[in-house]
Amino acid sequence: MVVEILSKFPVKSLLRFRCVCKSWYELFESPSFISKHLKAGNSNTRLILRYVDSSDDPEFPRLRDCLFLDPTLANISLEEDLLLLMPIDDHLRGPFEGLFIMFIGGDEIALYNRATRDLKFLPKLTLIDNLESIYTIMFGLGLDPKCNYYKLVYIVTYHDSELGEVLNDSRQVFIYSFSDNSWRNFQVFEFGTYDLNEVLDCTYHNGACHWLVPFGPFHPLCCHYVILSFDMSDEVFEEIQGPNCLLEIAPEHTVFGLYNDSLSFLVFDERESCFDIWTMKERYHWTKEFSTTPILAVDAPIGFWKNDTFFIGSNTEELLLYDPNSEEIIDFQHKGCCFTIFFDKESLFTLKG
Amino acid sequence: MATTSTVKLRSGDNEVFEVEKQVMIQSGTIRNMIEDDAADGEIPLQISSRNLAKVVEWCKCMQHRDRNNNNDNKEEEEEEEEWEKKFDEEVSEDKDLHFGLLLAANYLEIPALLHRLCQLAADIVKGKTPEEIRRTFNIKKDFTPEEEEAVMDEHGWAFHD
Repeated sequence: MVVEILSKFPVKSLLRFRCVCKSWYELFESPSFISKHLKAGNSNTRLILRYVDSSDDPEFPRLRDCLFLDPTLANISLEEDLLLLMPIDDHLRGPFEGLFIMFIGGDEIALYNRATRDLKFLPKLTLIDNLESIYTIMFGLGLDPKCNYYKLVYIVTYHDSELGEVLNDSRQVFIYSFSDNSWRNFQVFEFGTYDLNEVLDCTYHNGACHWLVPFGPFHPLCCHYVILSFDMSDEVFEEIQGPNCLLEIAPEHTVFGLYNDSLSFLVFDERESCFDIWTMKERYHWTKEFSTTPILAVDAPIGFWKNDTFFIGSNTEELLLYDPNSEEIIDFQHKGCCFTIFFDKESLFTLKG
Repeated sequence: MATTSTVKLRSGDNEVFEVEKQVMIQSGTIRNMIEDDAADGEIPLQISSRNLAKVVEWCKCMQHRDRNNNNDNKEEEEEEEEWEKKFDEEVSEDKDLHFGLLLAANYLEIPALLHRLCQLAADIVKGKTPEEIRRTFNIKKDFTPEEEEAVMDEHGWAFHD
């Protein structure tokens, strides 16, 4: 029961209580407690909104990262510029499971835990090509539940800048393990048919990282998406088909993420002007959870949030939070495009040592 | 299934509480007994009458709230919030009651109550120093002064406001 109570403390208190006794110190270092604590803190999870803001000067839109201080979002006027709270603001990605990833150059990576204020530079990578040839970087971060430690998967795609061609056959996959602070090369997967050329964020769920990736030859009107998953324990890639409705829907009308702790799609149905939620409760089996009533003047799903709610975009580039239970819509008073939302979770995972 | 709609709970100090089954099925332990038809007589519990009365009161309030979830009665809603606030205050100020209820909620398997009480415990002690924590939880310090300093140095900022 003490463990139950301890999992509800804020990270700052737990960092102090590490010196209470040795068994507490060891408990707070254990990945199973760190995961338990991460889950227990869901109600304190805050919203990070990353988007392109052109309200100041339409000629020079700028990328903004807003941190909303009220976890319940009852008071959305309390916000801060996230970048001012970061030690480095170079090519910020995430946070994922409480950790931010920053690319310094392309072969150097730093991780930052905002809750513990730990910053860690990972050992340099050995790339097969020079830095200028890096086209995109795709990565995933999460717990390996069998070995009980965290791993980072890092997939680099190169391009030939002179020919302007993406080199789909020369991808490199690296796995970083926090247990021994080292990188491993990993190359047993044929990526040829997947188009990993967009910047993709990963969704971690049940011991695996998931990315929504275009599949097959690129076609702007009809693009087939599949879920590429990577099992953090067995270290195998797997392809998972999405619900059939994805075949008829434009990529900008669908987002992928976690809804009620299941892999889910939020899909905009243009004809009915409503949103459908598809979830995978059993492996490979998709069911339509529900459809919303028609909502006027919206055209884009943006992302899932807590307590059944989700973000959508209006056709005048406004950000809205929709609650399907009360059918209430909150206008966030932020105008822009390319909205992405992140969960700012407090993780006890220390990057020291 | 059993025929009556109530269960009788006997406290450690021999006070009997007769409560509707619908209220007590929030307790996993009692629910199992009801499902196994083992709840017809009095159920003896190693919980004092004071603590058991509080648990029953809490279960009643929650059941009432769940039942009324769909109607928008502002007055009742405010009344319930007021009750919960009073419950939190009472528990926070009375260490023995708090601890007794934690054990009772754990034994009776009432997850929502256990969660609430753990959160209250966390809120009460989260600002304390490690020394105060050791006293509260009766823990012996097993770090040497050097070791303790090293651990403190890892996240020195957490010791300042």
